[in-house]
Amino acid sequence: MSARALVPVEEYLRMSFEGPDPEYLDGELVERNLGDDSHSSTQSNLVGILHPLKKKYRIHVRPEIHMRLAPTRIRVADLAVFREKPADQIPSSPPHIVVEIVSPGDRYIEIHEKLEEYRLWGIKHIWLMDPTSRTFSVYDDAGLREVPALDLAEYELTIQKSDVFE
Amino acid sequence: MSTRALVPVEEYLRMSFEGPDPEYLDGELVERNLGDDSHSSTQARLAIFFGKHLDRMKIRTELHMRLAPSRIRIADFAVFLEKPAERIPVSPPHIVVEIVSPGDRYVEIHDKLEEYRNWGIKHIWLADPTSRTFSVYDDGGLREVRVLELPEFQVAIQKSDVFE
Repeated sequence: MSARALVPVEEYLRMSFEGPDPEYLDGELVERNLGDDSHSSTQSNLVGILHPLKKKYRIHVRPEIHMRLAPTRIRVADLAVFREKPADQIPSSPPHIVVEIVSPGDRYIEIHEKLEEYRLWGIKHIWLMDPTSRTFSVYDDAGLREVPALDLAEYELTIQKSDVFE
Repeated sequence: MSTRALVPVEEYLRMSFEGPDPEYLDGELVERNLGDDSHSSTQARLAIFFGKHLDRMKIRTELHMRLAPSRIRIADFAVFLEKPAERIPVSPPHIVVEIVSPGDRYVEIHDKLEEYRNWGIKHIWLADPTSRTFSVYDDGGLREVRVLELPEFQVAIQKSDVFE
């Protein structure tokens, strides 16, 4: 389909970019949309909620993290929570939680594809937050569905919309 | 926010467009994405499926609907229980279906479905040919479903009915 020249993964890993880092999907650099103020505040509020659980539950909270889902698939998550400190700079084992925050420019089919790839990789909690509509969704075997709040029984935590959306 | 010149609704209704008709939202013409082959085949298959029920349903494709005096949306597919009285219906259909195009943005889809819900459409469905998924939108928001059901007509639509 694409006539663009493919980039070797080692080259992608050495590159630096002016805007948001693109993802690396089978040799192609796939642009991500610039996060706006709502995106940024949602991401930082979420770090603020999850980070205090670090000591008690030994979790590692990582915003804006590159993850290597397969040798030639590098995705960038808005936020991920690992139960063990990742052994690699670009983790190659799935986190316990991943969060994608919708930017106004994000396309439905691309969001869906990314969440499905996370599911196949084995991420247990896959969350989608949309600051524009102030909605939370979860993605699992049954697909994507909105939920009123996000429950994390294992960390005795429930995240309400008012906790993260300003 | 926008500094574009606003267009009176009467003018929008007289205009013709080269690509897909835009929607009319409070004086602005909002472009829609060009439907591709999957979009078209999904739309055609919906019409074929509902064609079996024409004795009790009126089906429409690419339909302009006037949700409010200054809000005109275009549905990919709509089902009315009675023939609409106006050329651009001002009363909600019983069912509306949006078919996702590859260029459609998540926030714009969500916004449109929420507007349909506030208008009072009973069944709001989203069909995505790319991921071959169905979703319904209601008071609980958007959620994927395996089958689209119309219990009041004992009708169920399977993915294989509409996705090639």
